[in-house]
Formats: sequence, structure tokens, C-alpha cells
Amino acid sequence: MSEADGGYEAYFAVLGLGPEAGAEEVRTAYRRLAMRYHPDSSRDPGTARQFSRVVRAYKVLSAREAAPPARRGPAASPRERYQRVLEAGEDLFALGQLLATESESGARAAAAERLGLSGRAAAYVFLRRALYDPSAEVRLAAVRAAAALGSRQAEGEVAALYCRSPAEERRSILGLARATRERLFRSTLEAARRDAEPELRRIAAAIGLERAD
Amino acid sequence: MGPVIGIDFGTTNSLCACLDGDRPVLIPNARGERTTPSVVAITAKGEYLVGESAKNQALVNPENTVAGVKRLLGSRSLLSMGGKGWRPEELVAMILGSLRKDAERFLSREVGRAVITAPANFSERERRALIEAGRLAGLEVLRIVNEPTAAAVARAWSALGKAEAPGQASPAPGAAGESSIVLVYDFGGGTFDVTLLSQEGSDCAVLSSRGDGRLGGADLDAELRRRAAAAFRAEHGLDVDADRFLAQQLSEAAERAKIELSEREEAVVGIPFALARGAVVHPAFALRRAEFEELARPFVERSVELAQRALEDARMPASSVDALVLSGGSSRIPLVRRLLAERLGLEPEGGINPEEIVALGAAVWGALVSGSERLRVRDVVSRTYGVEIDGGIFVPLIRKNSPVPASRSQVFTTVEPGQDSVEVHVLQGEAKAASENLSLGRFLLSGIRPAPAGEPRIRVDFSIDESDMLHVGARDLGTGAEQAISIADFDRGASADSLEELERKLSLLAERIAELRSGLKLEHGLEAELDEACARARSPSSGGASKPSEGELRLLKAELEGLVGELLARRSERRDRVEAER
Repeated sequence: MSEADGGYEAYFAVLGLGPEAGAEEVRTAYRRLAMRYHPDSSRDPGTARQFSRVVRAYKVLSAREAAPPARRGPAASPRERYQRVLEAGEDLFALGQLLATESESGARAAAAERLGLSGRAAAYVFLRRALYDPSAEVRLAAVRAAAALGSRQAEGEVAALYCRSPAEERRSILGLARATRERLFRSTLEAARRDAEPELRRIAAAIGLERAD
Repeated sequence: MGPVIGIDFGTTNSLCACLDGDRPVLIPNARGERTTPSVVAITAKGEYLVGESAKNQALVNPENTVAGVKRLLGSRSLLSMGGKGWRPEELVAMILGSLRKDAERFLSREVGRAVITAPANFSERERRALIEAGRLAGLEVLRIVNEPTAAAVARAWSALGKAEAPGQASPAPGAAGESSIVLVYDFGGGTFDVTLLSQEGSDCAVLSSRGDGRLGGADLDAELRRRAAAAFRAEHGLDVDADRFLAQQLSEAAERAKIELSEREEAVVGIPFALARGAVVHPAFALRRAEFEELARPFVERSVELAQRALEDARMPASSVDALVLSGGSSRIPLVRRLLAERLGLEPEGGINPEEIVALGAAVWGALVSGSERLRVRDVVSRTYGVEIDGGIFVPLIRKNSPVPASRSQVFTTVEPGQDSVEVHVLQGEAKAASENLSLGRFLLSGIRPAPAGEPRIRVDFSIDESDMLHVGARDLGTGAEQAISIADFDRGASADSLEELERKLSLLAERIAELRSGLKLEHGLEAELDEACARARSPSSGGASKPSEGELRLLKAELEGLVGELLARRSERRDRVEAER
């Protein structure tokens, strides 16, 4: 993975974050994922590879954080921008409620992101409605969050989302698949390999997913 | 733990009962009456009145008296009383609180828990409002029971008692091992419900139910009153509705006349005296039973029609019904019995007081939820679930009222040649057009071997387990490819369980998780999450200092459902891999 294939966005995606995440969120996400994929936690070589991807993403992003402000993204992180999302904290139910009630799509996207950062497989129950959100921003945040959770139950729903999305969104979903190599993209890639767009077919063909155990 | 009382909160009257040993008995109110009118009022002196005393002063104080609040439960409307706006649940709480006090006086003990009945078609919002009203009245509502179910359970309970009594020659059908079908026809003051149940030994299952929340005895009163008012206007030039006092008097006279006509051939709707065109008149409107029945016929016809539909829903002929149970005061109307006999060939069971049976059933439920094993009641699916097929048509797979657990499969195929994937669109609702139902989710089944349209065989499986989780899977019978989603009841706005019921479902889910995770290799993080969630589910009270609230238990349930969904996905992934390796 290099900056050329997706830039910083891909590194953020590995950590389950949107491109505007702040330094603290990068740290939180890194700690959670590192714990999940730590080589001590499983003898599976796929886990070890996921772990090194997470470490690499964290290193790149913290180096960027140390760089002059001009190279950084917007100053305020989603957590700071959306008070209610901040207040919901780790409460999965409250975050799920925000997905249903917030009128601003940015707030819903931030709530979806927080659910992904919770690191709890159970969060998917509350997250899944964001896959059907009217805003593309929220839908993508939901896919990113599902990938961050390593959720396997999302596989069929994400693939269905891919099939009904316009080309630009399909490209973004493939970008997430490429960055995270999460198993949940298996059906999505199967569908993408027969995409009407030759370029998306090419991208999909080049992505190999991690195998579990 | 004090006793659990059963409350039949009605549109016009409410009743309260408890279990005396094994026998459900009604609790009289402070006046010694078994029924308490569902009326609240505030006097000029600021005194709150509930029941008979509120009803009696309605005539002189109509602006500060509220009746029929049940029909407004769950709505946002404010009712004015004593110069203040009241939420419906606050007024309902006054009635429930008064019943609670009666019970405490009768039992000489504190009462803090109740089972309350509600019409079968009460919405989630209305049920929640009722629970809230109970809370305001200092009652923990253990369960909201559908009125007809309560009636059937009361009958089953008494049938059981008779069967167990020594020397009983012929127990009621369904009492001892044999299966029977019971139709409960509940025509109350404000609502109508009909429910078909099967009872086998001590096991009851709801087969189907139909209802109309806007059909009741009050509609008959209103119709009768309208005719009387028209007659008074024609005869005396009297406008009853111009005077709230007269209007109230006439409403009461109409209700009394209706009740009288159930026994007598003729009754009079009258006002003792009124001023019309400057003179004192004594308006009276006499009505023969035949005339009243003509007026009541459209309402009763509608109720019998709904009973027929409930039978159709369950695909049962009327002749298969073993017992007809009437409940609700309006079911005393002779026309009801006649039409039921004419149309369905059914005669009601004797020895049952239709006004009391629902409250008695609620008391029996109180015993059931607090642990009696004597009778068990099975749950039914509250909504219809299915998929969308080509052309936007909704195909129901699990129908409303199916007993839980429910499962059903159907084979579908492709519509285009060479199609290698299908989208399964899961919906909830009753409409034939998919777009009119509620969408629950969509998932893609890929990996279908391309073939001419109509050739692939794709089996779609629906199941709802005892913890209310909906699981939908699709499998290509040709290639074995499969995909699935799990939809928690949280996402479907499904159940309004009591705390006991929630705890039972939590432990079911924990068992399910233990079963599903065995043999799976999982990340440490997920293992830890499963351990922690299961520990909380098995002993919800431990961990924190205080007992978790209902909301916390519901959240925990949703989390467990999410984990079950994840484990199911992992298992099917592992199956795929094992098959691919072969």
C-alpha cells in the first residue's frame, strides 16, 4: 500500500476512520485494532498480516500528525463537530438512535464511525440501518465501520449496497476493500468482478482478501 | 414480593382481580362495586375523583370530567381538566392508582406489580403509554396481555380446575390432554376483538386475532343518542347539544336504555325535564328492541365479519370451534348471540360473566408471569414477514399469528438469463405491494452458476426463534452458495416484553451463543465480548450495584442478537470453506 493508491484515505480506512479523523481517534482506533489483531491473539497468519497493516497505517498517520499543520486535514475532528455524537460516547444504543434521528448527514456519518470504533461485534445491530441511509457519505461511513468491526454478517448487505450504488460509490467501496482486505467484502468482490465498468472489474480482480483461520 | 394483581382497564369500566389460592377473584372497590367507571374528574374545590363519584358529578361538572381516555392513550393530545392540560397516561394513572388502592385495602398488603390487559390491536406506542401510566400509579407492569387472550386463559384455568376436581364427570373440552379450539368474542365499551386459540392441556396458543379499536358499545350509545336528540328536536324544538348539562344527561340515558334492551322488549331514552320554547317539556324517546337491533345491526355485523376473518386467517371452519367465549358488556346484546348462531353456528359457553372474565384472566396471567407452571401460553409472531419478488410483489413467508418459533422456506428462481446473483429484499407488513411494506434489509446472494432464466433453484429460509430474532437465509441449491442476515427485534420494533420475559429471552440467547461459538476459532476481542455479554445475560442483576433497568436489558438483548448474527455468519463461512476444500 502506498500513498499513490488512495493516499492517506486508505490508511484511515484501515483504522475504520474517515479522512477527517483527529489524532486522538487515530490513537483509539489503533489501540483497539492492534489488540484484536495482535499476533498473540491468534496463530492465524491472516491475523498477523492484518496486524502489520494496522501498525503501518498508524505509523504513517502519526507521522503526518507531526508534520506542519499545512499538510493536515481540517482541524476539528467529527467528535468535536458533533456534540451529540460526543455525548453518546460508547453507548451503542444512543449512537444507533442518532443514526435514526439526526437530520445532518455529517452527524450520522460520525455516529456510524463511532460504532465502528467501539470494536464490538454487537455494534453491527445498531449500525446496519446506516447502510440504507439516504446520504452516500453515511452509507460509506457504515461500510467503513463494518470493516473496522471485522463484521462478517455484513457481507450480504454490503454486497447488495454495492450493486445498487452508482459507479463513484462502487469505486469507494472497492477502495475500502483494498485498504482493509476484510473478509466481509468477499461477495462484493464477486459482484464487482462482473461490474459493467471495466475499470472497476480490473480493480476488483487485483484485490485479494485475507483468509481467516 | 407482593401479590400481582390483574387489571382490565376498559374504555368505560375498569376491573381489578387477584388470585385467591388457585381461584381468581374480583376485588371490590371502596363502594363495594366490582366495576369502577373509567372516569376521572376534578371538583371546584380541587379534589380529584375517580370512578363512580367522578361519573356521578359529570352532569354538573362536565368541563372538568374526562371519560373514555383509553381511546387517547399513546396520542400526544392534552386533555383539559381543572384548567390544566393532562397527558392521557396521567389520567389513566389516576384510575390505575385507585384500583391499586382498592386492592391494597382488600388484601391488606402493599401491591406494586400488575398485569394489565389491552386490545389485541393496541400499537407499540399505546402499550408503552399504558406501561408508563402504570409506573405513574406506582405499579410495575409485568406484562400487557391482550384482552381476548386473558379471557381464554381465564376459561382454560377454570376448565383445568374442574378437570382436577375429583368426581368431575365431564371436564370442559381441552381441559385434560385433549386439544380444543376456543373463539373469544370480546365486544367491549370502546373496542372489539376476536381471537382464536388452541388449548391443549395447559398449553394455549393464539391461532389468529382480529380487532377494531374503534368499534364498541359506546358507538351504539352514540347512535341511539343521535336518534333521540333528533326526535327531541322534531317534537319539542329542543337542541340538546346547546346545553352541556342536557347533553350529558342524554348520553347517560341512552347507555341505560341500551343495557335495558338486552333484557326488555322496550325502553325509553328520556330526560326528566327541559326548557324548550319557554315551556317545561318531558322529552322521551321510546324504542322497541327490534328497532334498537336495526340500529345496532351494522356494528354487530361488522364484529361477526371480523370473527369470520379470524377463522379464515387460521384456515379453520367455524365448525372446528369447541368453545365460544363471550366477553365485554356489549356481548350481552341478544342480537350478538343470534348473529353468531346464524352465521357461525356457535353458542356461547355458560357460567361466564362477560364483564368479568378479562380481569380474572389478567389475575391468572399475574400468577403465570410470577412463576406458576400450571398453564403455559405460547407467543405468536406479531407481524407478517416476507420477500419482494420481480414486479414489486410482496411474498409473505411467515404470517402474522404463527406460533413462535416459526420457520418457512420457499424456492425462487432467476428472471434473467445468465444471472449470477440475486438480491433478497426482506420486508415486514401485510400489503401486496412490496413498496407499501416496511423494508428490513437487502442482501446479495452471489455465486449462482449462470443458467437460463428460471433454471437456478434458490431456497429462501425465514425463521423466528423464541427470542424474537428474525433470520433470513438464501441458498443456491445448485452450487450450495449461501448468504444470510439476522434482524434483531430492536430493528423491527417488535415486542413489549415484561422484565421476566426479557430475562428469559436473554438466557435463551446466551445458550444459543454458547452453542454457536463452540468449535469456531475467534479473535480474542470477540471471545472476550462474548464472554462478557453472556455473563451479563445469565445474571442481569450482578455486575452493577442495582438491578438493571428495562432499557438496559433491552439494549443487552439487542447486543446479544448482534452477536448471534455474527456467529451465524462465521459458521456459514466455515462451512463454505470446508466445502471448498473438499
